[in-house]
Amino acid sequence: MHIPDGFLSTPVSAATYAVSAVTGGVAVYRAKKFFADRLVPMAGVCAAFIFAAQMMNFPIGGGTSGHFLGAVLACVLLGPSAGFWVMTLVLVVQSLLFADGGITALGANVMNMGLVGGILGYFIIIGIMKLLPKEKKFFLGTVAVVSWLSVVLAAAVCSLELSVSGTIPFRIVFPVMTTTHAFIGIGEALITTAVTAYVLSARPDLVFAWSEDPTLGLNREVLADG
Amino acid sequence: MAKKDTSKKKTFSVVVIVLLVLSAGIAFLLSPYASSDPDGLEWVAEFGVPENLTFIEKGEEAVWEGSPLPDYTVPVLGEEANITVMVAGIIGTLIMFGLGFGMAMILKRSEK
Repeated sequence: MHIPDGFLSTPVSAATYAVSAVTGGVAVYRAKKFFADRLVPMAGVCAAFIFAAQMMNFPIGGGTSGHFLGAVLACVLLGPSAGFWVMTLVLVVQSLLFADGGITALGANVMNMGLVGGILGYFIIIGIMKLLPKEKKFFLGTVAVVSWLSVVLAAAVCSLELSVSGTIPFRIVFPVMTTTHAFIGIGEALITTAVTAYVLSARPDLVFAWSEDPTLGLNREVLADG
Repeated sequence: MAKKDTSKKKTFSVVVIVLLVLSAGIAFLLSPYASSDPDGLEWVAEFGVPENLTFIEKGEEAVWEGSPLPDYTVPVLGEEANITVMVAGIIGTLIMFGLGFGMAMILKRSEK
C-alpha cells in the first residue's frame, strides 16, 4: 500500500509529513527511555526481514496481490518507538533507492504503516493483553488478530487521505480498500504470528511487547528464564 | 545482561542468524517468484472503482526519477528479470540490516 507521488494533494502531503515527524520525535524520546541495548541487533534483523518479506507479493485472487507490512512485527519485537523507526527506515530506503512509494507521499506512508499500523496496533495489543491471562497462547492470538487489523486500519486511513486529497470519494474507495486489505491482512497475521512465536519460544526476552513493556506488568527476568 | 549465562548468549546469535538467513533467502531466492499482480492500492486505483473514477494514472509520474535500483532491479544487469531482482533484493536486505542496526545504536536507552 505504498502511495506513489500524485495521489495526494499538497495539504495532505504536508499534514501527514508533520504527523510523522512529530511521531518520530516522540519515538526518539521514548526509545531513549525504554529501548534496551540487547535489542539493537534485532532492529537490524527486523529491518532486513521486513524489507525482504515486503518484496514477496502474494496473490489474493481477482488479479490482486498483497504483501507483508511488518509494522506490528517490528513494534512487538522492538517496542513501538524503535519499531516505528524501523518501519520509517524501510519506507525511506524503498522510496529513495527502489522508487517504491512516492517521496511526496512518504509522510503519509510512514503515518499509515508506522503510526497507524505499528504504534496503534502495538497499543491495541497491550490493551487486550491487560484483560487476558498472561499466557503465550493468548499473546500470540492477540498478535494474530491485531496484525490483521493493522493492515485494515492502515488501508482505512489511506482511503481517508485519498478522499481528503480529492483523488476519489471516501464512500467509493473505503469499502474496496478495506475489503481488499482484509484479505491481504490474513498473510500479515500468518507471517507476524509465525515470527513472533519463533522468537518467543527461542528468547522471550527479545519480544519487547511480552517482556519489556513498561505498562503490562510482566516480570522480564522471570519470563526470560521461563 | 545475558553475559553471565553463555548458553543464552548462544541462542541470541541463533535467533539473529536464523532470521537474517531467512530474510536473505526470501530476498535472493524467492523474490523472482513474487506475484506481479498489482498490489491492493494499485488494484483499487486501476480496477476497484467505477471506470470514470480510476486514479492510477495520477501516480505515473514520480517527482524524482533518480532511484538507483528502480522497482527492485539493478539497471546494469539488463533485462534478465530473475537475476536483477535477486541482486536488488540481497543489496536491499544487507543495507536494511546495516541501517537498522546503526539506527538502533543511536536510539538505545542511554542510562544504565
